[in-house]
Amino acid sequence: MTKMKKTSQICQSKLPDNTALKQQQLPAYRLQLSATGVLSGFFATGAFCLGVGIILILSAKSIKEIEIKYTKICANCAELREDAINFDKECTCSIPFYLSETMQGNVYLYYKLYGFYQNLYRYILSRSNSQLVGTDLKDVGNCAPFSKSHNGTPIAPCGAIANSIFNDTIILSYNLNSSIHMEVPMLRSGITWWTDKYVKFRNPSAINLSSAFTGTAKPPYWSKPVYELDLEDTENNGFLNDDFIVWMRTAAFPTFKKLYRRLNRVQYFIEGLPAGNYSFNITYNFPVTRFKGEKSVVLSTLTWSGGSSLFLGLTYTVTGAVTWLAAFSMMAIHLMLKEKRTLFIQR
Amino acid sequence: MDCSLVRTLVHRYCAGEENCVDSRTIYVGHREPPPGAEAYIPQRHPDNRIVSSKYTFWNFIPKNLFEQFRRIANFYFLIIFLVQLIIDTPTSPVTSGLPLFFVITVTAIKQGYEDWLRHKADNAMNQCPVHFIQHGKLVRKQSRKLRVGDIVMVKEDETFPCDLIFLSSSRGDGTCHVTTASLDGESSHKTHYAVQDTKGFHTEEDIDGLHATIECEQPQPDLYKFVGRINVYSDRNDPVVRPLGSENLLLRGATLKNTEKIFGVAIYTGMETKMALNYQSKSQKRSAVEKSMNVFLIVYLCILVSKALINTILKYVWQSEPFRDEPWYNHKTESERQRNLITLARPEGNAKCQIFVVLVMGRGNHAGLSQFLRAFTDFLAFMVLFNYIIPVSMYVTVEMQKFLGSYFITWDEDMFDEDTGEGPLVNTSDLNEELGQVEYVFTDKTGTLTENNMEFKECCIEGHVYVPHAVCNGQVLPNASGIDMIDSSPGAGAREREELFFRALCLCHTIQVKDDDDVDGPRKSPDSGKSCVYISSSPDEVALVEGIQRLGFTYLRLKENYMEILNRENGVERFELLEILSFDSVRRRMSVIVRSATGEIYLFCKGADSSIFPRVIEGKVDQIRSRVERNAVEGLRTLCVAYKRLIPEEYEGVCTLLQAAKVALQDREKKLAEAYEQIEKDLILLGATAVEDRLQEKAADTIEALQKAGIKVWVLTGDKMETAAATCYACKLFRRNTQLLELTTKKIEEQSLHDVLFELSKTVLRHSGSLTRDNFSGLSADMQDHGLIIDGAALSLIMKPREDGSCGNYRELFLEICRNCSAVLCCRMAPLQKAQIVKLIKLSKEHPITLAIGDGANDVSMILEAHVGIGVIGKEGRQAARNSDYAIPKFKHLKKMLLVHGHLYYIRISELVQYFFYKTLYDTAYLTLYNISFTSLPILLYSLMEQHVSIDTLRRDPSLYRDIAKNALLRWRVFIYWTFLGVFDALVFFFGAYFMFENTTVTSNGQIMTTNTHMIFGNWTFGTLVFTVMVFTVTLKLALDTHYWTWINHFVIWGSLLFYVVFSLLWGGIIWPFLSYQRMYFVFIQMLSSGPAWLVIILLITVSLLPDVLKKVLCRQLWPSATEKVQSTRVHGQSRLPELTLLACRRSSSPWATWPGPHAKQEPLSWPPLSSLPHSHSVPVPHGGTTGGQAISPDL
Repeated sequence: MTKMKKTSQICQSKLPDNTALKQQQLPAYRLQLSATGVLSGFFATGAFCLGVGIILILSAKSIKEIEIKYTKICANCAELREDAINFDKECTCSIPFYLSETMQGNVYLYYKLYGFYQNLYRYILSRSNSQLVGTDLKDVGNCAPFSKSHNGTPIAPCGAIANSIFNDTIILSYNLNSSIHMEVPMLRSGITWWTDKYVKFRNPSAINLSSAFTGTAKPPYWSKPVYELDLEDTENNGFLNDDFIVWMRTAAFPTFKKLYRRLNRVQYFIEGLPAGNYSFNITYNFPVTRFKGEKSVVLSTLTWSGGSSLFLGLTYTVTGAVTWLAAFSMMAIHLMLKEKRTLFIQR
Repeated sequence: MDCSLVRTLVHRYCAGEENCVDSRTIYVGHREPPPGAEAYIPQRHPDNRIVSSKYTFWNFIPKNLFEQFRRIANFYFLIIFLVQLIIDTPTSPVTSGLPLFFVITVTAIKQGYEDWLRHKADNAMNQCPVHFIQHGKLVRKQSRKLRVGDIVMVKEDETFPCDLIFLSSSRGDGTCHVTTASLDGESSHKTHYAVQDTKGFHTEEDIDGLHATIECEQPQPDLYKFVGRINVYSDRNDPVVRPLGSENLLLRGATLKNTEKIFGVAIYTGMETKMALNYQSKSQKRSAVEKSMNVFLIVYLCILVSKALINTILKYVWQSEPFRDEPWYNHKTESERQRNLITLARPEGNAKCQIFVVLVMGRGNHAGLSQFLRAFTDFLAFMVLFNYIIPVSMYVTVEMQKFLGSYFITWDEDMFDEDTGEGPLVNTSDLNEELGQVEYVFTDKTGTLTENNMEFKECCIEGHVYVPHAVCNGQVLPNASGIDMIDSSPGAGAREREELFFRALCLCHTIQVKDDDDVDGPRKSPDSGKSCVYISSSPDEVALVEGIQRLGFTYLRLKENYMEILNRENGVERFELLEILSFDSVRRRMSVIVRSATGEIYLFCKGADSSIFPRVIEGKVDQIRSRVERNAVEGLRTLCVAYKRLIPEEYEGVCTLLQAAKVALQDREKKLAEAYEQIEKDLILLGATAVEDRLQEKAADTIEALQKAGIKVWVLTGDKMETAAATCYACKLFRRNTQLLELTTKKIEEQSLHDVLFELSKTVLRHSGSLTRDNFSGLSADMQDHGLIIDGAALSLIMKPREDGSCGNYRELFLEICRNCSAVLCCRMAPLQKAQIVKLIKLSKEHPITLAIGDGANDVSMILEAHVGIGVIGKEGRQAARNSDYAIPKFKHLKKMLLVHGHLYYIRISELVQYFFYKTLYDTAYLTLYNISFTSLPILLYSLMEQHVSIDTLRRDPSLYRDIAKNALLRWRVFIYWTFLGVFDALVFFFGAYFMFENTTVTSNGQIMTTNTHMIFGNWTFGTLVFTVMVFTVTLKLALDTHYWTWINHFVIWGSLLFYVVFSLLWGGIIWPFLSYQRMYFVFIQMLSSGPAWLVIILLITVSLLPDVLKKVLCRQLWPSATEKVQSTRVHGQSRLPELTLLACRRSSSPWATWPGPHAKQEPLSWPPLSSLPHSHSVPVPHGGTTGGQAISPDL
């Protein structure tokens, strides 16, 4: 008797728990791809894609965009910049153009580079973050070969990215008539990521910037030191210069666009850019022919859906169409099979 | 002379090979023989240590590391890691080093632990105390110190520490009883005999005085063969020479029973014992899935290498133009230029690199060489860059999946056996998915298919059938009523015959009666005869004698060569036992010669029908034969009984004949057999008996289900052919319409092996046309299926290489025959032969996955040999269970094991592997985390939880198993599909995002989001975007593939997406003080604040998932597999029950379910509806009822 008890106890202890998890019997929902479910799913996806696609196309169409490649237009300047010896010679170039329609709303001015590889591995790493947040100007870690000047003083900002900053000056002027040329007011602020401007880039603390940067040298290709980047706005100097910050955010592809200015909507330009004659006055500094690249200047409006390209909209539309096509053919197959099946049952 | 010396040396050093040295000589008790005895070459024998562990403390780390890096993947990752350490790459070595280190450590700990357990087991074995005689005294010593020639004393219930020659026992007659349960699986007691001249040595002092040498053959694995002789030197006389046979040999692993103690001399020790020789070393088993995983890995490696190669070439094409190689904005450093010129030394002066360069370049600074070296390092750098194509974490995940998944087997309540209180055990978790791949099942018979529990069913005397009432609780029924006369009552003559028959059964056996003297004294009183316990080497005999007891005749004991029988009138009859013509497998019968009290000499013979009938000259042969055949069909073990009366002159002749044969030194067995042959003839048939070996619960059901699942079941047994065949009938392995083909020694004696084989193959192949497709179904009544019976001797003939060298010939032919038989029965198999068979099939052309299941130690080698070894936790020790990969309590659990667990595991793991290859394609943290955390938990969970079809369905419908047979889900087609899907998705991700960035100004304008962000996305944003899309796609794809949504799945899939988002937010949202860079800072948040980015993400996910969904839906509609049909019928069945379920049943159970296209369209109409049902009813079913019918139509 006692033996029996004992064995049953042993049995119990060895008997696995009867829990749903252990017996693989957890309550579960079985995903069943029923015909109607799948078909309606497909149709819904298709409808959604088509809808979004059409909206995107429409919104992209409403965007006005003008792009002017000025490497060839300013061929003489380009030629001059071919040789690094002429670095101190100034070269300007004026590009007139006609805006047939008013660009309404916010207008943005971009520069665009072709064939400039900002995504080269060594290039991307060639910067010093501790310098850029203003903690240690002497830290030039990864910046070689742009880390120290000839006399051994550390370069600030060091590295290939900073050294190769886009240094053309683009000024848009509105030709109200043949005699009155007025400069279109542009804002040079608010073109960076907020976090970049207020967290990732900091000037070294000092009474004034120039004293803060004593003991450092300017990057070799720069004409001015970093604290004199913007002579008009003293706040926009040093590492906190907007153009500098924009440049420092490296692009993913060799062809890229970077925001340069945005329209200050005052006076004539309260509605945007009115139609009429304009011209870009460009101080041509940035050499591109040396790497067989090109540069252009872009004026564009924006909507919620981004830029002027139809690509996204088209892709959506095509995807939607394909989905519907698939759904229809599936429906056909399904109906065919169903007929066969009922026939079979009847027999 | 020199030659012979050299030869012995050579022989000695190739010990372990069969028959290297002809014999060994052993001095009993290490006493030198008297001078003048034959000189012999001293041999060295190993000590009695058993070693099963793989590593020692010292060699563990190097050996284990070596073992681990033999794995392609591990080696690959090691190389990648080293390359990362040496050269300058964009990714940090920690990224790939950490997971590798993790994997290696975990595996090493696991293996180390396992080996430690083995060490412990070995130590326990080697250190267990052994008594042996030294200088006339009993000494205790550790088992491992035992040497050849030591005299050992073994007590009752102890196991023999090594192979011993039985010198003497505490029993007066010099016998002892032994169970060899852990050796060959037979739990019955066997009698062994002490050497005639030494059986008088009962005390330690006596035995120490023994002066003898033993000559015997070198160790060989055959458990049942032993030849040797002993020279006993008594004072001054010539030595007495006695032959030694296997009856004198006590094997290591066997247990002494019913004998107080015995003395024996060690002849084979340690790894040379027959037990050790019968064990194969346990090698690492790898599953088919892992093999295909490795192959896929190699493919990916090739892709990787070519990718790196192409990239290196492209790099140089790129660099050939100087404006690209070094544009003005991106100067090289001084040292980099130098590197280009001379070495690849890095500016930091990486010491390792310098050394490497110096080593390689030491011979001279050829410019060409340096150029090449530079290219090579670039190549390596690309390799490292792209190495994420091969996921380290896959191995971790697979290991984890297997390890955790194996718990589901252990936890399974259905596989718990309440009688024994045992649940399933998982010894190796590596093979879970292999359970879903089995094509051949090799099963042991006794103890696995059957309960190993005999019961006397009926006897037939002269055509009259006697059935003892079902006697339970061991109560003896009153004599007369114990017999049921089925036929008319016999006359007086018949009555006499009847009694003779009972006497014959009472006498003709080798049963011992266990004397429990310490139990209550007057136990031997006639009326409590039942209480005596019979012990025999054959359970059949016990069953018979017990059965006869119920019919009125009780065998009491063997006392001083007189057998005592209690007859119906409670009178004791005494018969003098004159001779025992013992049982052997060739004759398949045994006889006794007894002298009755009246002085008449009888020979009683009992044996298989086929061996008795030809020797019978009188008796009602036809009636008995028909009865025997009927019984055999019902799966009973039948024996025939015959007798003859010997006149004293005849007996004299018999005696001399036997004596001559017994003392023969050479060919003793042959001579004995000849003598037996002469004696056992001209018999008078008395009757037949039928004994049932109860099948295990649901064994037939299980076998039927397995056969329906397309698995071929082979029975390998050491048992007699007839018995085995009967069991096969009982468990429905053979059906009534099965045409049996025999390939047995008997047949081969008639014709040559060659002829037999060709004839058989012709028979088989005649039907092969219809077989190839139908033989899987195993159900249709009109179908001709074949069963092959082969015995051990015939098998060894086939396996033996022929002299002319064309050894493969017969094997091929044999395999061909086997392949075309639906069932194969191999009987009279030695343990190693079982393994041989498994190996033969394993290595045949198709490389099928084999599974071996058995319970005894005799099955161990087979279990080790097969891809999957399953041990039945049976009565006969745990040898099999310990050596197996899985252990289950009963044979019936095999069904759930294979059909449910195997199936699910296979589906799970194949999905897992494919998925890993699929999801292979930035900031280092992300890269490391991608495979490890973002996407691996869901798949792991998936691989643990997925049930694409419910367990019930799987169990009911074995044919679903065929859907996954032959590694179907890991074929090249599927692999390529997944790879293409992966490539397609990668292209969509990259180029989709690329065009977005290229053409669309993917910026957000400040009016909608925050006021001052019309930012331009940089390269980091691009990466994040692609990565986000990837994580979502990959996870959603898994969600689409999941059929079984439990809350855990929901939690993990959505949870991991959430985790990704939260992680990204955190990673980018905070400036981490320990990171020197903050390049990911706010990237993710910025991205999410952009409208187009959202649109892009949604679009890309949709596009990349679309083709897969489309393919899935279309395939399901057009070419559904049986599994998918079942999935869908479950849905339909619930809504429109009556018609549809019938249809569904027929579709899924019929054999053409797996062949889509024309068959499926034409055949259903000509197929008789559920034709198999009546058939399975008509088969005589001793057990299990009409399970076949139920399995087909669960819903009816």
